Amino acid sequence: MTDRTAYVVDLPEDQTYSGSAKGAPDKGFERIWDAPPGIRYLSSVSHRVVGKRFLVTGFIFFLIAGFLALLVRTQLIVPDNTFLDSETYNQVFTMHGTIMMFLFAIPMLEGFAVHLIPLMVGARDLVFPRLGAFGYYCYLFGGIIVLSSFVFDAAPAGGWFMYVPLSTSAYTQDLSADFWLIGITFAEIASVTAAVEIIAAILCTRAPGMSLTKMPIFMWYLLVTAFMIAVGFPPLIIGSILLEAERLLGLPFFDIALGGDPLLWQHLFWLFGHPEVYIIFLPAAGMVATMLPTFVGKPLFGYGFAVAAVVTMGFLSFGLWAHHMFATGLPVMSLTLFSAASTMVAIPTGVQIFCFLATLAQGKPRMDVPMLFIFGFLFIFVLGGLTGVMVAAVPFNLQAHDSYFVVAHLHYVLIGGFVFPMFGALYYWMPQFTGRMMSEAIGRWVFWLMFIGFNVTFFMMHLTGLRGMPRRIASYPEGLGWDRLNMLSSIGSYILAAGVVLFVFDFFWHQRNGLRARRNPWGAGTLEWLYPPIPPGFNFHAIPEVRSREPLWDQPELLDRPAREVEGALRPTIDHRRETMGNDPITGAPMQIVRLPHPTWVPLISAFGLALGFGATLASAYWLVAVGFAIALMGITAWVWEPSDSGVLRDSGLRGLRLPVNVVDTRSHLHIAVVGTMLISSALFASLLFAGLYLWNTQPHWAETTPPAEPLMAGLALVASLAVLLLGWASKRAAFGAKVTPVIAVDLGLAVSAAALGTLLFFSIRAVDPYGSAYAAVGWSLFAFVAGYLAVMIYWSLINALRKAVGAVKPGQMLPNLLIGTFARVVAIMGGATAAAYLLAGSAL
Amino acid sequence: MEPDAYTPFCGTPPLPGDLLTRWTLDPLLLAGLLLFTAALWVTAERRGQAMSGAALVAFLFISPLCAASMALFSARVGQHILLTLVAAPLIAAALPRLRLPVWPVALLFAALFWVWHSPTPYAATLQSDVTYWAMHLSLTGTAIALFASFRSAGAQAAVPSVFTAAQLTAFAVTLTLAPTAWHDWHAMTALPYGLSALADQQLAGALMWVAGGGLFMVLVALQVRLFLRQEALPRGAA
Repeated sequence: MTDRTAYVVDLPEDQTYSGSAKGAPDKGFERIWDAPPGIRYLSSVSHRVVGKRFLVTGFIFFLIAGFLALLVRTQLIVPDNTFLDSETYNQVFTMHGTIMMFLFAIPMLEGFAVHLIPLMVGARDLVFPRLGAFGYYCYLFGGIIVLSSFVFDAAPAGGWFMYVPLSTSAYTQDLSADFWLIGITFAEIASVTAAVEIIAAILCTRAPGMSLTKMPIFMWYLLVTAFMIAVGFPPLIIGSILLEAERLLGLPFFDIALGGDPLLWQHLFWLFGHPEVYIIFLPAAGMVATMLPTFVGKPLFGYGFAVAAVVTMGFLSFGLWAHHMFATGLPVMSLTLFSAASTMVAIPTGVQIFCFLATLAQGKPRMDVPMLFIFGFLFIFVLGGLTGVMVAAVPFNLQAHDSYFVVAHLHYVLIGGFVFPMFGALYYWMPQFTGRMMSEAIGRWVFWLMFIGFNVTFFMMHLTGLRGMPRRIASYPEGLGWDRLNMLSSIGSYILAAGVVLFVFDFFWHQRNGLRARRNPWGAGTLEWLYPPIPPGFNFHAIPEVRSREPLWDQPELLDRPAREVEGALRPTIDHRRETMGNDPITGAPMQIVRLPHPTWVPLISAFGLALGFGATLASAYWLVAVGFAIALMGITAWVWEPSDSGVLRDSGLRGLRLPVNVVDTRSHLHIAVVGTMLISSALFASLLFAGLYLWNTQPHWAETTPPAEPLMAGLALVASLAVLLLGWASKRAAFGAKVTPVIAVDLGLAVSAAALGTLLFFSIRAVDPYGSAYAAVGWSLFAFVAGYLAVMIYWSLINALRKAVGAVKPGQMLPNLLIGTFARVVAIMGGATAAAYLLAGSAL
Repeated sequence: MEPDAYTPFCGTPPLPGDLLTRWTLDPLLLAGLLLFTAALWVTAERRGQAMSGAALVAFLFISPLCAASMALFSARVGQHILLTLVAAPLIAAALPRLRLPVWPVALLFAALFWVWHSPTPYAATLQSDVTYWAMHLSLTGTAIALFASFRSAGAQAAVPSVFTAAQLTAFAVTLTLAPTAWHDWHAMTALPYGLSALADQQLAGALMWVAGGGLFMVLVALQVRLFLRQEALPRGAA
């Protein structure tokens, strides 16, 4: 399938193919990569800038959510306290959980990923810098929307999992649930764009010679995490959209009176929620697996076992969501098996922990501050794992359900599994951001304050929970045996907070007074330490060849000379463009030269347009919604219109190897990104199908009484989807050819067949009343979902046709046809599946 | 049951007491299994794995599990799990490398899995030997093809195996949470085992969900290890 050779042009080095306008012939390498000064800094798309933005913003949200936690602990410090009223208390604990999970943990790991991936795999920037910048702004604006609910006195108060029916309009009449649903969904755009970006960056922009097995272990962790985000976030996104549609439009998805089911929300939520725990834990474990070998001085023990365990965990985590629902009346027959399944997680987790321990056993670790945090991680996370085995047992679970025991368990897992490794990682990689070392002396204080404070706070909660204290209550009466334990927990939380405050102090203090970091200050083996950590704007003057998993330990030619003189690919900047090496995803062999964008405003403009649209939806100002989305559409159009030099051969600077620029190939970074996007899209679609299947299954009466779709139209839609499928295939074929103008017919054909498919689907379901039953409403959502994708396809194929018509496309530059070919085929399958679902639901099954 | 009624391949539903005496020693079955084993012996590259796969297949049809599957839907599901997720991958790993297109095979397997476990086709397998064997041969055959295609696809098997795990789980969830029993056949047959037909079905669904998921997880881990080993070999040797 991938053996087809694409059309390429071999030109002398002094000629460009179609005159890409963005080159900067007057600038040298370092100037090309400089971040723009002043206000134009906001237009920077460099991964160093975007990564830092994610980390700083995420940490600020951590401080906010931590402050909210202190309010909670202050309220509970004595019985019958009146520090917060119960409504405010509900808002505070809801926002604490929401911010920690969605606006701190995920963005923080994205920040580390964005900053470290290019440096560790040997790329000059992340593969889609504009997408990264766009994702950041979506996260920032989404976070601001969620936080602004405090200003409007409409902070969400339904708990971080927003269970229905409490969060439906009948029981939450103000805007608080809408703030949550819209803000969080918007912020999640950052997560899914990051997933696509991480997948493509790790698979497609590695240094020459870095095969998959020579990747730093952290890259494996991030790769699996990215796939999990791609499949795991869609159920929540769909759930949130359905709930918002119920609140805003009155569609009865969760309304039991019209065949909806409140448990559907729990299934969708935990289908996301369980993998989410691993999405948070895995990158942190990956950072531990990266730091540990540095401090022990030996490579990670059992690399292959760790990778297999991580991939396995990725799969396993999706089968386990039911164990969050033990108390919802699942069939008794299944409970024992779910228990067994839950304890099964201990196997791949255990494999990783033993790999860490065996690494430790190989040498005497240097007890620097990051290493202390790693020990903290091992201690706390293993305890959290043990209570995890306890709550996996159904009888114990029913006893501990909704008590402080669960609160203790989840904090041991999340703080042990994420916060401690993250602080270690901040100490470890801080020289990358500031060029200076944080203080060892203060760092020890930070660690011990946090470690002792944490254990005092949360160990007590196990006991409070076993003594029967339910979670989420604003106050408790005296004399139930909870008083002293709560007092201790609150005191512990202040100690923990003191550690965090001390860290913040050290952060500011060390920027002036910290020791300047020398080259490779910790003696690490991975490529991000190749350059002295005085933060420059660029990554590699020349991209070195990699022959080992720890190149800085095993390849002396990397450290025996100044970093700028290290030999490698792409030293000459022939076209004065930002560019990096593109490789075969599996073998790591050089395959193409990837052109990267220079600073641009389009990500900010597009994200701003979307923010306006989402914000205006909250305010019910629908004309403003239209304006916002129009701005976003214009921004995105400008984004894709850029002329390029693709399809031309250039010298790679690697022993005379000539490589094509942005080659038309199914292994190209853009095609991998489209595959990733379609994976996310399929997961979204599958979540909707799951909702329909679930309602069909559990509410059979409503499935029978809902009027069927029009079978003739649905049958025709099936035929139309076949046409889209074939045209998608034709578009892919055409992309490899040298002929340009005739392909306009394929582009137009795609647009027409997509329009026909959408129209036929509409007429299939036109007579069904979406307000009549939840089942019918899901049918309409399937239509709306596919219609959205068809609209994108029509717009995109018309742009492709237009670009060809005006002569903006030369032979060898038909990558968009390859991309839309894949896109169209997946959309055709979704359209066909929708038509088939209409036919099946209408038949007498 | 009426005397002239059709007797299913594995016999009438047994009572718990005589279950362990119910071995299926049909000469045609034995001949077929022998032929199958011989064919594997000739074609396989790794005879150890091929023979353990063949032994498991033989056990699943000759042992009382076959009879138990007439009484309990959960036993039938257990039989299918072992066939498709243990025997099939063993045999696929033993055969010479087959270049099969991953996606069409994965879709075919999904379609067959859903269809054969839904009420009407399931009932049909209890009405004639031909349908019974059509089901087992098509399910096992596509399962072998599926794992053979995963094996040859290497890293490109990632997304199709996510799809396969997802569709198997979705079916298991549907079965576990269904409010009524699907298969009329088991309405009475499960009762002697202390299970209502619905409880039997829930057990079947949960088995598929958990045991099936667990086995799939092991297969994923093995596939990843295999992939890493092959990748670690010097170029050209793999």
